Amino acid sequence: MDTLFEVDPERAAYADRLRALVAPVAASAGAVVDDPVDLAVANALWAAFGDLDASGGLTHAQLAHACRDVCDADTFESRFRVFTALGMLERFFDKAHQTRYVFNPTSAAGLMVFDRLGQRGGVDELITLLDRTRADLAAGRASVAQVRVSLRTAQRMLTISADHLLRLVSGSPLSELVAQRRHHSHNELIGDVQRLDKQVTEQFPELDQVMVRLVQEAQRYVDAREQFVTRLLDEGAAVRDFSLLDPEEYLQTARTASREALGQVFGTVVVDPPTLWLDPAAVAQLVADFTPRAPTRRRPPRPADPPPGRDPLTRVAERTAQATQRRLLAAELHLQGGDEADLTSALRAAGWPAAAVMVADAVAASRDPELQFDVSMRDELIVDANGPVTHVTPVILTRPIVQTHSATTDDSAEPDADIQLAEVRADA
Amino acid sequence: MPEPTATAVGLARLRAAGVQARPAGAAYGAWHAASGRAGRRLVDVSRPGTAGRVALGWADGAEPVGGAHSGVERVSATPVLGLTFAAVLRACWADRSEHPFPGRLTTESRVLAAVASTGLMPPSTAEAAQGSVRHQKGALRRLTEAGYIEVDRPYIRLGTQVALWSEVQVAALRVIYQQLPSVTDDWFEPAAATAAPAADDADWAFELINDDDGLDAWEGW
Amino acid sequence: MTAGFRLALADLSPTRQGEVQAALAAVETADAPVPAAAFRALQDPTMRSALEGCLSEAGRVLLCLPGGYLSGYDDGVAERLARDGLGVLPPDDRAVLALVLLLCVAVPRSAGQVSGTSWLDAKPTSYLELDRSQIPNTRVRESVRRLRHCGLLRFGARKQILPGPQFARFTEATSDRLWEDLILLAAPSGVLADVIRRRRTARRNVPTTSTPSEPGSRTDPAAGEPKET
Repeated sequence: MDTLFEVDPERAAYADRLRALVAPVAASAGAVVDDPVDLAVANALWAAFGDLDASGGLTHAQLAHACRDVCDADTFESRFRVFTALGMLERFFDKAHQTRYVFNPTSAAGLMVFDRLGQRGGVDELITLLDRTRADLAAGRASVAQVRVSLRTAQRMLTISADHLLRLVSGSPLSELVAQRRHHSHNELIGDVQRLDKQVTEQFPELDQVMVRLVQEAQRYVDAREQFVTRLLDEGAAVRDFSLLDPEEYLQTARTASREALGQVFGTVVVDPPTLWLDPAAVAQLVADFTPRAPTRRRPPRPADPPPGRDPLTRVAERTAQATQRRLLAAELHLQGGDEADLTSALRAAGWPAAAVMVADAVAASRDPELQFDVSMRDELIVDANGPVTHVTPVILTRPIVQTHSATTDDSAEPDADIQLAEVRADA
Repeated sequence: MPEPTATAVGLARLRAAGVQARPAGAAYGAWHAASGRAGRRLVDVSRPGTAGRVALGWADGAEPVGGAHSGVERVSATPVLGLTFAAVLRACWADRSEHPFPGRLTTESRVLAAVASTGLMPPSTAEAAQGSVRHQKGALRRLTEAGYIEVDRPYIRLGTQVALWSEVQVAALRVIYQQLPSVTDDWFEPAAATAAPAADDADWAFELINDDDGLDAWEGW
Repeated sequence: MTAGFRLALADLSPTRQGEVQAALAAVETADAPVPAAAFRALQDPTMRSALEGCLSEAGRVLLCLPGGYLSGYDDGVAERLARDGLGVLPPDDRAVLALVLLLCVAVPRSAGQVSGTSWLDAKPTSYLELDRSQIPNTRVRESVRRLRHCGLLRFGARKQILPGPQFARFTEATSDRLWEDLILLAAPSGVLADVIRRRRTARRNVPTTSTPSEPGSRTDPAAGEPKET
């Protein structure tokens, strides 16, 4: 069917259900609208009659006005013709001989059904029928003939639904089953049938055979539904399909579930303890990279292994390069073109933990063989109990003068008072 | 599904718990044999004077590898973690000709001072070191969780992961023994060796700094 | 037992034993799936079979994933460990991890924002979203830290939170169970939940003939719905 909304599978499915619903009374196969916009026109009219003061009816112009946001003028006129022809809008003449229209309550009932159909499907009607039958029996206002008809109707509904489910299970793609999962979610069905059974046996034992048949079909339907749900679960699990529930259901659970309920999920799952990669080779490498420099000779740390060439870790290499770049820029900012900068006041103003990050960056910059910076810390402590950073050691950032031969002792940096001089480590 | 064997369960427990009490009698032999069939090595990780413990190590020469050409991706430990561990290793490894495990005890304050001496952290004068101390607590806890050290306040010792190192692996560290971070000759153990108690709820703030320091390779995935 | 048709490690030459042991160390400890190209024992079927035998002796199994191989706990062995409380996360961490799965995987996949079948096909979440749960904020942060150390969570860009690489070590059966548990959590009283629970009970019991109907009742209680409350 070449309709406007083939692109939207939800609307297409709804249109299919509308056609199927009306089929019993349709004069021709083309009787049902293709586009739910047309249905929206009917709803708009119903709303107008229900909301406005329409006790005297509404004129054609008022009706057109009520639908102005829902459709264009041509669509309204064509729908208006159908509605009047079929009796949804009934015509009468007021005292001034002006044509007015009223809304047929039967059509209103139809609109309610269509609305419910969009949500719930046929089995819902069945449940309603069972409820009504039980209520009538309890109130003693049902005749044996009426109950017989209700039981028969319910049984047929169940038979057809069971067959439908079995066909879905054996031949349809998972997406179709998922689309209809809400139509078969009444877990009180057997209970309702059992309760009805008791009532009927008491009041109308002559309906025993009809009741037996109903119970059998109810069981058959429930068995078919079990297969339907089993297929949903098996295939859904295989592809971890989370559309068996709506996102709102999962989201609501995230907001409201208790710690205990949440804790059930991983209650029997075994995981490994935390690990770290600190095998001897890794430790040796780290130590080599971070051996403190002897004060008499400035030697850059041995560069780290290049990161492995595999894809995820080239991203790591990029991040390292970005971090280096960031530290370079930060250092240059501090230095403002000069060769030395006292970071102390910047640290004090930066607050916590920004000050720590600043120090870490400066130290890292000084360790980076690409960046020729030095960091030294004076052997003091500035305590400022009310400041943003309460305890600060003066930190000097310097750019050493580049030597053409190996570094001498005369770099512009102040002596690294804080690096423990006694800890001269001869290599190996 | 066939019932799992007792040894399979036992060896799996060793992975999940890191270490288990040494099984008694015939069970020990069964675990030992099963470890061999599993391509592994049952290692005694007991500390002298305490109840027997075992862990599951690797066949000689078949220890896990990492690094550029190993084909195995590893998340590197941050420098703070690595150096803290190196400091513990040095402090506990008294005789470099022996395997470091079990080694001797050391203290948190000594480890702190050793790491500070690398110049990685701000100076360790008393109050200024508060930040460093909390930083260190985070590193120590992480190292404990991963089985590289064991903390018994205020003492620290080497953990079972070290016990699993083969002689070949130990040899690699023996070479750079002198470069492992350690305290200076003039350092002394503070009288009341109580570092500032860690405010654990502030630890995570330092974790953030910790994790940004160096390569946090999880983020690249 | 199944040991019969699987080659034992000792049946291989010393060289090939070494290959198997090298691959073993890799799949048991790697932080990401190990590509088959990296280890001969992963490519050669005989050696791979011996590798599986080694793993099975230690209660482990070989998992074949899109990026390569990793090991995981054998399902039966894991059940025993969990029964003894070994290897099971503490309650807060379990709750936070479930929360992350709901927010990062269930919601976005149900809404069609993310496609894929692995737990790692996820949309990042944040502390802000996690704070909207029933778990106190400080406990959330502590759990996230511990779970990151375990590799079950990781930080993405801008410190957003995502499921971590250790999810790759879950067997199919474990992942299926987690998926069902999330449904049980979100819709505990629906038909899906009923069937899940019924199937789990059936699997736990030794399979026998179903219980016969009571005389006089027209419905078979074993095959029907839960009893009326």
